Parts: sequence; C-alpha cells; structure tokens
Amino acid sequence: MNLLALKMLIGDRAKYLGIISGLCFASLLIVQQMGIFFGFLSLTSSALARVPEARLWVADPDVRFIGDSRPMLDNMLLRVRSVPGVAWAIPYYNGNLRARLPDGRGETCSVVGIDDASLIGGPHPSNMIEGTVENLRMSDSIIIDQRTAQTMFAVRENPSDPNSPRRPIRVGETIELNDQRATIVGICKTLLQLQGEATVFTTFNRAIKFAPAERRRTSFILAAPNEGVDVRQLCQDIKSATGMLAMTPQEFQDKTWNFFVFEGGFGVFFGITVLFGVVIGVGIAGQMFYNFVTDNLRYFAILKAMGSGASRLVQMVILQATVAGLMGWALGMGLASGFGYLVRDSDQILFEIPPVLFGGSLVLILMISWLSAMMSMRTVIRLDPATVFK
Amino acid sequence: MKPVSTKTNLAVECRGVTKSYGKGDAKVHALRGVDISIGVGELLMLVGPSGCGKTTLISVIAGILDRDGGECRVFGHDYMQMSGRERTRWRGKTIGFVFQSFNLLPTLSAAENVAVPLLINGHSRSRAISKAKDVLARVGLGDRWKSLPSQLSGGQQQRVAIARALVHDPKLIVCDEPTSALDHETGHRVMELFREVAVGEDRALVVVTHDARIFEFADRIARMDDGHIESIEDKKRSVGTSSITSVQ
Repeated sequence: MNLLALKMLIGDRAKYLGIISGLCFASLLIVQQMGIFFGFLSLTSSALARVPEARLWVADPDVRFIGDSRPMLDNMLLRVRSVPGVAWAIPYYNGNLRARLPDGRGETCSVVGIDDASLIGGPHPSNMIEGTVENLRMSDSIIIDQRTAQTMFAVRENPSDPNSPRRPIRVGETIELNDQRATIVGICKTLLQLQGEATVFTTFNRAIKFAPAERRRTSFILAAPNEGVDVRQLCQDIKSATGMLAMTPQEFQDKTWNFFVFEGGFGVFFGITVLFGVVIGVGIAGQMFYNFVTDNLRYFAILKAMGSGASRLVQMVILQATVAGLMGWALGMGLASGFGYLVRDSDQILFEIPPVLFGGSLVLILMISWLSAMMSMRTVIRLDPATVFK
Repeated sequence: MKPVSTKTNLAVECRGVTKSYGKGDAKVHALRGVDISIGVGELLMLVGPSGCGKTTLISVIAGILDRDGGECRVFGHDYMQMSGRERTRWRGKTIGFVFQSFNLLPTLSAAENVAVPLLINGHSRSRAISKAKDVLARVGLGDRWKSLPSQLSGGQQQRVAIARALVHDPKLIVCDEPTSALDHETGHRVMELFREVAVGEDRALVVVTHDARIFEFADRIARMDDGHIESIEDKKRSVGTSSITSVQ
C-alpha cells in the first residue's frame, strides 16, 4: 500500500512537481537565510576562534559582545594571574585606529594586540602567507591580513593621481598608525570580521603605544587553567577575586550571539524571513497537496470501499506528505548549498550550514508537509465510500 | 415483512430495507421497504429508471451505506451488528466491486490495479502481483499486465476491473453499470467473461444496469421503481418464456 501511495503521488507529475517546488522554495528560503544568519553569528565571534589557546576570557562586567571592548586597568592582568588555578594569563588589545597608507589615504583598521612574549592570539603559522608571526618581535612591526593587503590597504601606483590603479600593499612597506610608524612584516589569512574592516596584528605593548594614551588599555585578558582545574570554577574564582567577568570561549560566544540575536534585532529580522519561508511553504505546498488529495478522493473512496480503513488512508497521505517533504527539503538544501559554494570566497557573506540548521530545516519542512497533509486529512477521514457509485 | 433467514445458501437476504437522504422537506426516500434475496451462484440484475434506488440498494448490500430500517444479511452477516472496522475488513475480504467508469488508479499498471484488494488484505506485494498476473491471464490480458489504464481500450480496462473484483476470491461481486461505457460488442464480451469467470457455486453477482442488451446474461432480473422492487423475472426457469413475479 505504501508503494501504491507513492505511485499515486509521483504519477501525477504536475501536482507532484508543484508540491515539491513549494517545499523546495520554502526549504531554500529557510536554509539560505539561516545559513547567512549562522555565518553572520560566526563573524560576530570570529575573534574568539582566532585564539584557540585561550580557555578563559576575562572582560569588563558590562561587556555585551566580543566587539564591545571596555578596557580594564593594566594591573588587572596581575590580579588575574594571582588567582589560584590560573596557569597563565596574557593581555589582549582590540581597538580601532586610523591608518595612513603610503599613498596618503586614510583607512580605519582594527588593531589586535597580542602577548609580546608568547605571541598567543596572533595568526596561526599555517595561515601566514608571507613572513612569520615571530617577525612581530622586530621594531614597529605589524602583520596584516591578505584581504586588507589587497583591498583596504591597496595603494595607488601613482599617489598623486586619485584614479590611478591600485596594487596590494607589500611586506616591507610602511604605514602610519595614529601618526606612528608601522612596518608590515607579514601577510596572513584570517577569519572575516563582522564589520569587515582592515585587520592589523601587532604586539600588545606596541598596540597600546599606537593607541591614544588612556589609563585603561587592556581590552581582554586571555587565560588558561592549571591542569585538573575546573574551568567554570576558575571563572567564578576570578570573578570573586577581581570583580571582572570571566567566561569560557563558549560562554563568551553565547553572550555575543545572544546580544546580536535578541538585542541587536537580527533574530527578529531573520526570524521573519524564516516565518515567510514557512508561510510560503504551507501556502504553496499546502494548496497543491490539498488539490492533489482532492483530485484523488475518488480513488481514496474506492480503496475505502474495497476495505481500506481510514487509518490506512491517513497513513498513505502522511507517507505522501513525508516523501514530498523529504524531496523538497533535499532539493532546497542542495540549492542552498550551491549558493554557499558560490559565495565561499566572498568578503561580504559568510555562509554556514551547521548541523542544527541541517536537522532543524528538515524538521521544519516535514512539519510544513504534515501541516499541508492535515489540511486535507479530514476530507479523507470523513470520505464516504458510497461515493464510488455516484 | 418476513424475518430474514440465517441460512447460508442465500448470499443476500433483505427484508423491508429503507433508506432516505436529507431532512425535512428535502428528505428523499431512496428505498421504501425493499425485499430481495440473492442466491449463491446467481447473477441478479437490478434494473429500473434513474433515481429508483438501484445504486442505494447495492451500496447497502455492499456495506458502504447504512440502511435506516429493515433487515439485510450478506452471507448471514448483518452489517449493523459489526463495528466500522469489522465491516471494512469484512467488506475487503468478501466483496468485489466493478464500477461504471472502471475507476482504475491511473498511475498504477494493470497488475498493480488488480493487486490492490490483495494488498488491502495484507498480502505481500510480490504475492499480490503474481496472483494479479494469473487473474489477468484468465480475463485475456496476460500480456498487458504492465500497461497503464491509459494504454488500454475501454473493454480492456473493464476486464482489468473485473480481474480486480475477482482477485481476492470474494463471495459477492457488485457491479454498477459495467457495460454502459462500452460498445455493444465489447459489453457482450465483458458479460460473457463475467459468466465464465465470476459466476460460481460459491459466489453471487449483483449487476445494476440500464443496458437491456445484457439482460440475457442474468439469472434473475429485479425491476425497481421509486424505492421498491416492482417485479422479479426469473430467466432460469424456462428458456424463452421466463416467468415474472410481481412483488407488489
């Protein structure tokens, strides 16, 4: 009977394609928009992913997300280091500065200041395209990312001609950061940041030298626990000892995501898009499925007259809806993945399909299919087999 | 009205069956106390003008429509004493249907269409298809088992429908205008086929028809009008001079 149900579904090509198209479109809309949303969330917390060595992030208690840098006093580093269970703690600077390029143009850039001694927080050696992270030990040195070198920091070949073609800035060239000399000693690949601005890596002490003089200069403190020390307990201990907020990277990511989803309004924005996907899916697929069942009522009545119970017919309709849902979801997921492939190198869009989106979209599309089936289920259940003779 | 006997040599025994549709002024009395018996091994034709209650009567006999009053037993079973599920299951095993417009599922092959009653009764697909092919061979369509209904002529489609009605060896076959969509010659062949393969010692057939050209295939002809059986003509009693019994 299951095969019979499927043949009934697939045999009516026009309606089958209509149902699949509706579900595919809904799936595409949901997965594509949510893929962008998850990519966006990844961007918001990309700084966390850049420092996998850090097991703890210590920040000002009022920090709402990773980009919300609220500098702490420099002595906070020593206070964190003094908390029992802390294996190491290093300062981390994150701030926006104005760069002046060799051709005289100005460009805002995000300066990341990493620990002078350990260079933790800098680009991973495997991500270095030119130079090495150790080059940061040279005086006035900075490392910039490839995207920055090729776009934001690209210099005019003829500095006096505003229309002159631009070329990527090169290792060895010098720029000014807040009127202070900075020499490019390396070019790396790095994760895209939310604002998409130029990214400059340097040491912490050099970063605070570049930055305008302030009493509070440490954006974050990165730390790790001693072996066997519970990270969450250590977070509590640091909080008690310093009054600062200590979080695991996961907690900081959740905090950042919560900010953008709930306070930043992005949850509502993308939620509305997903809702549109559901409404469109139910609208198109539901209507088509209802028509499909209505057109087949005569055959359902025959099956009922011949001895099929209502529950068997309901099973058939649910099977038809499930298969249509799976097909529509798979096609939509395929198209959305194709979109992701096309934008894989984009500087503007980061597209991600995490497992939760993969599974969640499947559940959502199946629910749309079943909802569509339920719209016509009542007709099948109440179907009078005596109609076979009418 | 005599009470219904429970003897099993009768396939169908109905006494005083009534059925109406609608309410109030719009109420239509489709059956106004129908008495009829159909013996095992018999082919009974129900004839009469449109709206006389023929279809309602076979629907009641087939158990797909509830009667309002009277008694009706099919092979000794009264549908009104069965639960909905029991009735559906019993109908699936006991009754075969042939419809006016064939009502074959258009997306299924001939063999799959024929196999439907077996699948409903829980047979495996391979066994059902195998038996369906055998029955298709009996109705002369052994080589067309893969064909879709749209690839078959009207007569062939009705033969598939007959095979579908026979495949699960039902005790009672109800046919609604089985020849009305067919030309005279094809209709004749279909009825010959019915007599050949469907009528047997342990099976009864009820055929609703307007088609006088097939009356010769009936054992008895029950004429209905306005919800009553007006007369029953027994064609078996004597060849050429059939007897007519007035019921009213």
